[in-house]
Amino acid sequence: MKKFSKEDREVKLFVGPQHPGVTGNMSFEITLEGDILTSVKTHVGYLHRAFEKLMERRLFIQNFPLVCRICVPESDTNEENYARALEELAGIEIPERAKWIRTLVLELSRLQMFMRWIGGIAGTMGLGTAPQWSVGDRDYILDLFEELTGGRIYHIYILPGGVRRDLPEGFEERVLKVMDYLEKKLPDYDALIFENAVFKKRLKGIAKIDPSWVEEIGVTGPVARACGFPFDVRKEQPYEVYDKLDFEIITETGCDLYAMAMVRRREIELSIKLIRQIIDRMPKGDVWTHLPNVLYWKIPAGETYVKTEATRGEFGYYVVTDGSDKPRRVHVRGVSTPHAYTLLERLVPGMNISDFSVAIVGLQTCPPEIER
Amino acid sequence: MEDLIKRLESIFKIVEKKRGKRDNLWILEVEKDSLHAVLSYLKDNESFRHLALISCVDWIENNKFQLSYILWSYQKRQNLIVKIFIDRDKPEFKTVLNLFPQAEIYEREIRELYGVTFEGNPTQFEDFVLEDWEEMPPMRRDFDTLKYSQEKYGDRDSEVLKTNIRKIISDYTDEWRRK
Repeated sequence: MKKFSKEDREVKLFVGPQHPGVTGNMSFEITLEGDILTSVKTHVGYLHRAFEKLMERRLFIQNFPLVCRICVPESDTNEENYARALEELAGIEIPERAKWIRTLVLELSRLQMFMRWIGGIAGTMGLGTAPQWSVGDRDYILDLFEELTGGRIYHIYILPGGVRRDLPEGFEERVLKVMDYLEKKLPDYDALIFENAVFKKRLKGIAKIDPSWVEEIGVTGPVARACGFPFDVRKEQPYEVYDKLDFEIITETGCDLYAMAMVRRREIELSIKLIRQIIDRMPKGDVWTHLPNVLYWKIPAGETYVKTEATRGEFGYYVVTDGSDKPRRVHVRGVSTPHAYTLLERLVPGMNISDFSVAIVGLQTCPPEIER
Repeated sequence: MEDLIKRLESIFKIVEKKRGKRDNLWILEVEKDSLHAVLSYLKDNESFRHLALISCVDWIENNKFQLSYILWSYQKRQNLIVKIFIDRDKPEFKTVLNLFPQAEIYEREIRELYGVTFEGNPTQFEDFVLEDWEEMPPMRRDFDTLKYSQEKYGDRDSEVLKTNIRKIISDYTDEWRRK
């Protein structure tokens, strides 16, 4: 019988950039031996919009329509990071109520992203009902955003000096109503997905992470928390008013995709709890402090690195100014960069091809933040 | 954190140290030859094990590139930006891949967008976002985007464009009127 060499047995496949199992416009070059993957190479570059280059030649305030588009589904994180970096460099103090409103917007944004993720992971597995539910329920949160900011996806609501306007009348009650609804709906989601035998079987033991990798390659967010590491920017470097809220960091110890899913499942409950706390404790007052004329606004030379806990992990902005009216350099730390490259390359050998897209969605990789 | 800076100063030469605008951020400038030793010391002895980002800034007026290594310590809850300056005419440096595996991607990105090569990084010449790029690295300050776009794609003739658009609109309205 003829013996085949390793090269003869291996098949190379291209997954993406247009593929239902891939989160957005990125492609993977996978090598297969039978059903089993032996290696993966990630390719980005299908979505590059040169935002960082554009930002260097625009005024500070003109960059806000750009930054919210850096991570498409989670725009508020970008706005808040960029605004906070500018405030820090310019030495601007913002009113107390503005901080509370920002935290509310950030938590709502995290919540809608988790709902969207439920749709993503269930969709890749062929559980078609869950995406219909979760995308529908996410729309209630987008309605709130539309009422508050005028936009459903891109808000441009958080600006240096505070937020653009105060909450509309009766907004708090409508937020609480949506929270009540979502909380009532969670047991249904449990029955539909998180307790589902198919879901458990497809995720348990898949993409098992060695806990020693977490610190070694800079894994953050739910992926790190699924390995038992209590890494949460909201707790370890509290920004806005997270130091005034009571919550515990959620961790699991499974180290696999199911543990990551359960971290996100419990994060949904936590977000709802935090939003209730914020509305309960929010003080009255101004939401905006006056800036100098933003068309001639010069920020003293300096550099800073600010970060936020996005749904996927540590989302950071490195901003360098040189005393002029434009930023010298804005570099965005996309959470997914180490996840989609270094971590995925280590996870893939030995994985079945049918688990591959589940793993990508489970790690919640997001190409727009890898290439800005 | 001041103790740590003192300890560092006793071993390495710190060119400049600066406190950030908030408490848990320090910015250190070190000499480029001692960067690996500083990062290694910080990683092994001072618990700065999380490399969040490697960034590059183009200071064209001083003819320098700035490389910033942003570190975070989970134990100390401190951010540290360690920066070095390299010559703009000779954009070469050594990789930190042996200390931080995720540096591979950040260095690949800087190689492509700024043209800084990192000795010892095996994959730095692979494409990151650009394909078959032969011009000047695009994130450099002297890269003229307008000139590049005019040379590559040419200017659109606005008069032709206007008449075409007018024709499309009139055709559409005519058709709509006939209905």
